[in-house]
Amino acid sequence: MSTLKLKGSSSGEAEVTVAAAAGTPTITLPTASINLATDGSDGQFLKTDGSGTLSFATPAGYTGEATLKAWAAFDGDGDVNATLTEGNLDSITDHSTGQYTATFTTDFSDDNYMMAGAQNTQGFVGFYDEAGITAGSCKFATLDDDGGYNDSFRVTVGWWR
Amino acid sequence: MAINPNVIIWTEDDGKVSICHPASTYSKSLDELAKKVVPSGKSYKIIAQSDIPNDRTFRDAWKENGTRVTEDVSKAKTLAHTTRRKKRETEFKPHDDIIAKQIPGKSASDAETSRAGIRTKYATMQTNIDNATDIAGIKTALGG
Repeated sequence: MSTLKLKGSSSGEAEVTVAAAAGTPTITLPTASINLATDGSDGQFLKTDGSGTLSFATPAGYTGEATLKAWAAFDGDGDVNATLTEGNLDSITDHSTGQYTATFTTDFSDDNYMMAGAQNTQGFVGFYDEAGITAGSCKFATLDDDGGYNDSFRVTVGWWR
Repeated sequence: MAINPNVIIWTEDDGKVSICHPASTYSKSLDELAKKVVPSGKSYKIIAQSDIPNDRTFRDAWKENGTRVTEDVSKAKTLAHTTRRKKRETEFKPHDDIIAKQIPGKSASDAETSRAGIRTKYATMQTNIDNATDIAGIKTALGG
C-alpha cells in the first residue's frame, strides 16, 4: 500500500492512500475551485452540473419546518367552556355531535395549512366541510372508525404552517 | 384569564343550534366575536353556558328556546330510534352469522330463537320510545 502525504502550510497533513488491490483508478480534480472544508451549509450535499463543476446544493423538496400556529384541547363530551385550553384561537363553535369550527385569532396567510388531532382510543379527527377550511377558521370533526360523528371526552387539535 | 360564563348561540339552516365557546384568552366583547363567527344574515343570542343541557346524548335535537337551549322531544325520539336500530343490529349479528354461514356445531334453530327474543325486546323498546313524553323517558326506554 502506498500513501501520498501532503503537509499543511503551517501544521497538519492530508493523505491519499492507494488500496492494496489490482486496478489503476484515476481521480481527476474539477477545473473550478471548491473548498470542501468551508463551503456549503447544514443539510446540503455535493452536486455536479455534469460539466465538471461541483457545488453544494439543498435537497429538492426541502422547504423548512412547519410551525404550530394554533391548537386546542377540550372535552367534547362535556363542558367545552370549562375545559377549553388553546393557543391563537378566539373560539371553538360546537355545531352538533362531533362537528366544530375553530376561529383563529391571527389568520393564516391562506388555507394551505396542515391539521392533525387525536381523540378517543378509537376514531380520528378530520375535516368535514371543504368550504369550511379558510385562512381565518377551520371546520373539523371527531369521528368513529366507521365515519360517524361522535363526542369525545378529550379532543386535541393543532394547525401547522 | 377567567373562563367566560357566556356563549353565543344561533340556529343553522338545518335546524341545529350552534354554540360558540369563547377562548378564556379572548378579551373583546362577545358581540365583537359574533361579528366574526355568526354566519351572515343569522340572528344570535348571548346566553349563559349554564343554560345549555349538560347531557349530550341528544345533542342533535337541541333547539333555541328563548334564552335557553333545550331538547326537542320529537327529534330526540328520531335519534333514539336510530340508536335502537344500531343496538339491535349489533345483537342480531352473531346470530345472523350462524344462520347465513351454517357454522358447524352451531344450531341455526337456536340462533333463530335468539333472534326472535331480540326482536321482541326491541319492539318493546320502540313502543316505549314512542310513548315517552320527555327526554328522561326516552333515555329510560333506551336502557339508561
